[in-house]
Formats: sequence, C-alpha cells, structure tokens
Amino acid sequence: MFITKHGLNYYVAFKKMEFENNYFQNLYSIDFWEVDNKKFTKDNAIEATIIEIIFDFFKVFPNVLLHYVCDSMDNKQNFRTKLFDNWYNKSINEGFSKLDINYEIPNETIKYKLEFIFKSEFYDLNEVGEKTNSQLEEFSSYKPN
Amino acid sequence: MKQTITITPNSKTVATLQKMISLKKEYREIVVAKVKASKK
Repeated sequence: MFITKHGLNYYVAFKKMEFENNYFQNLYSIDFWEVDNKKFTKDNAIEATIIEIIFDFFKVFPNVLLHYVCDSMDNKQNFRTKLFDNWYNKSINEGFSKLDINYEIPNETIKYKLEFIFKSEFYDLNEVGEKTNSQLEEFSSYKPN
Repeated sequence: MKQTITITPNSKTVATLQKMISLKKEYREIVVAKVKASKK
C-alpha cells in the first residue's frame, strides 16, 4: 500500500493462482486500486510507483508469469494499458515480453483484456497465448458435479 | 517482445473472464480487510 501526495490510498496486490496445469504453476495476478474510490487526480508518481513495485516483484520472483485481467466497465482501461505499456518500455532491455489479449464481442460495448508480462528466458510469447486460450476453453467447458 | 492479439470470445469464455474479474474484486476486499486488521 502507498499514499499519494494527494492523500489517496493505493493498494498493489499480487496473488498466486492455483492451477493443476503445470504450465501455470508460477502464475500470479497483479491488481492495483485506489481504496476509497476518490476522484482520480492526475499524478505521474502513481504510475511510477506501481512500475517500481512490479520491477521489485520480478527481482524476487524472476520466473513468474504475471497477469492482469480487466473489463472496460470502470473506464480506467486507458490508464491501465498506458501503465503496463510504460512498464514494458522501461524494461525493454531487461529481457521481458508482454502479451495483450483483447476480447471483443460483436455489438457489445464491454471489452475484456488479459495482459501478461514475463521474462522471455522462462516463457515463449506464442506458447503463453496458446496455453491461455486452451485453459480458458477448459474452464468454459468445466461443469461442476 | 510485445504482441497484441484480439479474439472474439464465445459466451462461455466471456463467463470465465467475468468470473476472473469477480474473483479479483473479492480478493480486493480480503486484502483491504487484512491491511486494516494489521493496523489495529
């Protein structure tokens, strides 16, 4: 958690995702949010702080597959996309890859997005996309007893 | 490397994505509760 110069309380959380699929054994989610839902105030330090937290996380856990999932309901997708793009641009020489999967439904305004960031030495970009799609299909077909 | 792909999901995949987002929101509440409890 960190507090901005405007007094906003931001949380950044990482969560290990539990899967039987070995490929995703080091899958973590990242999430960040302003806890009191106060009006957003432009503050470049927020993005810079979150970017540094992501870098620190990879220093401790270099072989993780980090993902972020969101929809377009809260109208903050531009901020998130820009943040992850800026993170990637700052990491350009550090062996990272970034995969963005946009899910767009014809005639629907809501969009979904999955973003992955990871070290290229541990994961292949195309393979992450293929495994993700097949895993989502598997969940889609899952019928509880 | 960076790659962006766009997929037209079927209804079941949309349901999975919605569930993932729902779990994310639930986890936010857990995190906030834990932080508040740790400050007491």
